[in-house]
Amino acid sequence: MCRPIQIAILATLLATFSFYLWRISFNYSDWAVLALIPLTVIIATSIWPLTLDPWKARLDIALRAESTWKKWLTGRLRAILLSSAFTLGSVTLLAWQALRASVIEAALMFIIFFVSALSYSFGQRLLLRHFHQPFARAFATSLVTWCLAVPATIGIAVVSWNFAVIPGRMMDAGFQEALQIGLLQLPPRDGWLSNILSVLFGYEAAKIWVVVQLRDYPVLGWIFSLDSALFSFILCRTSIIVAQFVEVHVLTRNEV
Amino acid sequence: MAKPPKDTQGPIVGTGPTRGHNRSRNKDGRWRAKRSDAGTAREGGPKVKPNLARWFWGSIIFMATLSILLSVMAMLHQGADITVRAQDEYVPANRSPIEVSASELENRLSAANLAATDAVRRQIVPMLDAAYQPAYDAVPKYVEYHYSVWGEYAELGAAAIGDVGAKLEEVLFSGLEPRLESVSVRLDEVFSSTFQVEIEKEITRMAVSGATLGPLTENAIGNALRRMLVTVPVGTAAITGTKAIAAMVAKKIAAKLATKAALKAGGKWAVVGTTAGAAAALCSWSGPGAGLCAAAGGVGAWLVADYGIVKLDEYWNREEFEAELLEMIDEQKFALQVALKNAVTARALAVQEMSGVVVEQHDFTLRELSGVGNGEICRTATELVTRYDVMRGSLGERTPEALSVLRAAAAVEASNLSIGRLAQEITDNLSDAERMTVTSVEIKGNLPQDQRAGRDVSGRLVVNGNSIEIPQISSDESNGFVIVLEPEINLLVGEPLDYAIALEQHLRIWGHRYFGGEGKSQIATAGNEAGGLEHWINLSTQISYDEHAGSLNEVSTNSTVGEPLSLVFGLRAPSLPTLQKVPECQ
Repeated sequence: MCRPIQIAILATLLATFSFYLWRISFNYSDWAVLALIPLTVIIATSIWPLTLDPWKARLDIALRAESTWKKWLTGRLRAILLSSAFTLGSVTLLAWQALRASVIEAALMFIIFFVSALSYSFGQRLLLRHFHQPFARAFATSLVTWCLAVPATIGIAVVSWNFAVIPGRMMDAGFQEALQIGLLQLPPRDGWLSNILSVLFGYEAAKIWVVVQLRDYPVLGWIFSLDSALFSFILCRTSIIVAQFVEVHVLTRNEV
Repeated sequence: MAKPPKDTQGPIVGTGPTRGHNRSRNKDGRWRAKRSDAGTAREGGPKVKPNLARWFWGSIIFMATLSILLSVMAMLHQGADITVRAQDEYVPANRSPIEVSASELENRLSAANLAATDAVRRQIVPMLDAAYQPAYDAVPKYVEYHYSVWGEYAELGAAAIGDVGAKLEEVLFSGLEPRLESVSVRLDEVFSSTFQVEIEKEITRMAVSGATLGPLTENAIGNALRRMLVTVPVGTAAITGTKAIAAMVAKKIAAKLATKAALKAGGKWAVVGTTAGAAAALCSWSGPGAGLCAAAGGVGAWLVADYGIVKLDEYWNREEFEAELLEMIDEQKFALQVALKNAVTARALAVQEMSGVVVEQHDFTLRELSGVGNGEICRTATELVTRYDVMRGSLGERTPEALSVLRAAAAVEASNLSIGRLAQEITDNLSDAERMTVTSVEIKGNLPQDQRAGRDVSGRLVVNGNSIEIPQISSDESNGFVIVLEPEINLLVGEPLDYAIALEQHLRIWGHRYFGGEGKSQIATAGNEAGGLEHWINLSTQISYDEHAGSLNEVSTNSTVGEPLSLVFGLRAPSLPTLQKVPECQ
């Protein structure tokens, strides 16, 4: 089987099992978060060189060899901050999406994830002919993210606009009631996980409430749909990062 | 042999296998400098990467196994007995509420409605059989009464005052009315309970799988259940009362009695006359008492004759009468069965409509909420309504093509959450859109030149198998005749129109002459200049003399030549109902 396809399949399998296990076990216990740990570790492991290596390469060019700043400007602090932010942010956001997604949305996310990983593998192959590492990898990541996330955002926004069902009670609900309607999607237990996710569910409910209240301004509905679909950038980037992990650590090859 | 460091005074190696020795010298004798890359890996050397592949595969296999295990357990959990599940360790203590979507809610309400309707339909026949059984059982008793001298006189007396039904109601239909009322109440109970049971089954199924209905769905279902209870109950169906049933049966019996009474009277009077004469002759020795003797003999003879005739009547007709009574009860029962089935259908439709309203209030999409979505939906709705309204008041617009297009457009929108009910209403209303009635036919013309005689004509017009008699009217030798008919024949737009005419010329001395002709056309209403619901079609045919015909029935109408006749058909279509379910659009 073609190596890019193998990479895409493995990356998609890992993410799918992680989020599926998370979704079905979340109704039972906060221990469901354990299902996300492998994915979190993989993202953290993989994003670290992606953030650090290009920065170090730039520093090597920019800094003089005898500069005393060299021991401070290693790029490690930047890489720690960016990697941590992306890892925690992406896992939380995608875990939330996995909980609230309908079957159609889940299928759409699955396809986007697979296509992103596949496109990254092919894209990097192409770019390696013209760029050195780690720039080929960094450019492939950015290029594929933008090329796929933009149409994916529009696609998810259209699906959300047409099919995402909003509870009828929202129509007459006050702000507090709207928040409660949003929080009803969480299991009725007072766990730390629910508290974290309640922020996201509450934020979503508040946005819907605003859209419902200002229904005379249809553009708000579109903005809401687009806003809800922006996570597809995170989805594409996460897919690429997991694919990089598979490429480097799982399906290793000498020349890589 | 190299000198020790203390002798050479050169730099000493700090680490490694040559630790404590002096560094080596270059060829020019200088001590070698410290390596710049000491402490770092040599360029080109192998990179040491942690082996994460095993860990990756392990994670995938572990999560896949766990996912499959949990899914299988959830499925088993769903299928097993509720009581067993209550003790199952995998049932979570806290259950998550689930809000079903509008389409899911609609599906569940529709399924419950269907199940309730089926359950009621299955119960109608057995319940009616049970309600009518006492009436069937009482038939022999009533027949016994009917074929008794007393019963005969009582029925004749009741018939004279027009109240045969009282005894029938007393004997045959005693207690039927409350039994029928009870049937309709029980049918309503079956409908309501089946509907509720179906909904509760779904709730239980969700509860078993560890979820509960969310408050929104619970409210919607509660609302649907409350409204279902008062939506067009079967009990409101027009159930014929026992008095009315008895009256209908009595009417038939009274007619039979009248016939029987007339037949019997002649025979009985003959017997009475003969017996009274014989009694008078026998009692003639008594002188003035002979008259009384004759009268007593006559009364006795009347009663004996009556008894005999009743018994004879019973012998010959009892079985037939009993069968007729049973048949009449069957007919009434069947009519009631049809009425109840219609009532159940009406209730099912009303509940379906009510479910649609509940679902619409349940939830919505952004597209429906926003002006853009509403605008689009409103445009579609307006287009449907406009096309329908044009047809509503104009027969000319109801062409087969236009009707087909509108029906297809309505079918496309049938599943739309916002205008599905409007689409369904249009589809329902269009079911009668093709129907129209021939309200008038004007036939103008004259008989063939050689047979004109200025005599009256009459005949028959046949339109699509419907025969209309043409009354006798005068016909002028030069101007011919104008026949105006008001037939009230039902036709359908687009169907072929076959018409045939047979005329009879009423001569005074010679035998009548017969003429025939026919034509074929298509019922086209397009291009109706007058507009509205009335339309006229101008047709023509030729009639020719049929010298072989001896009556109207024998007239040949398939002549293609002859004297031209013009026919003007006046058509009228019913107005379509006004649409009630048009969405509110600004």
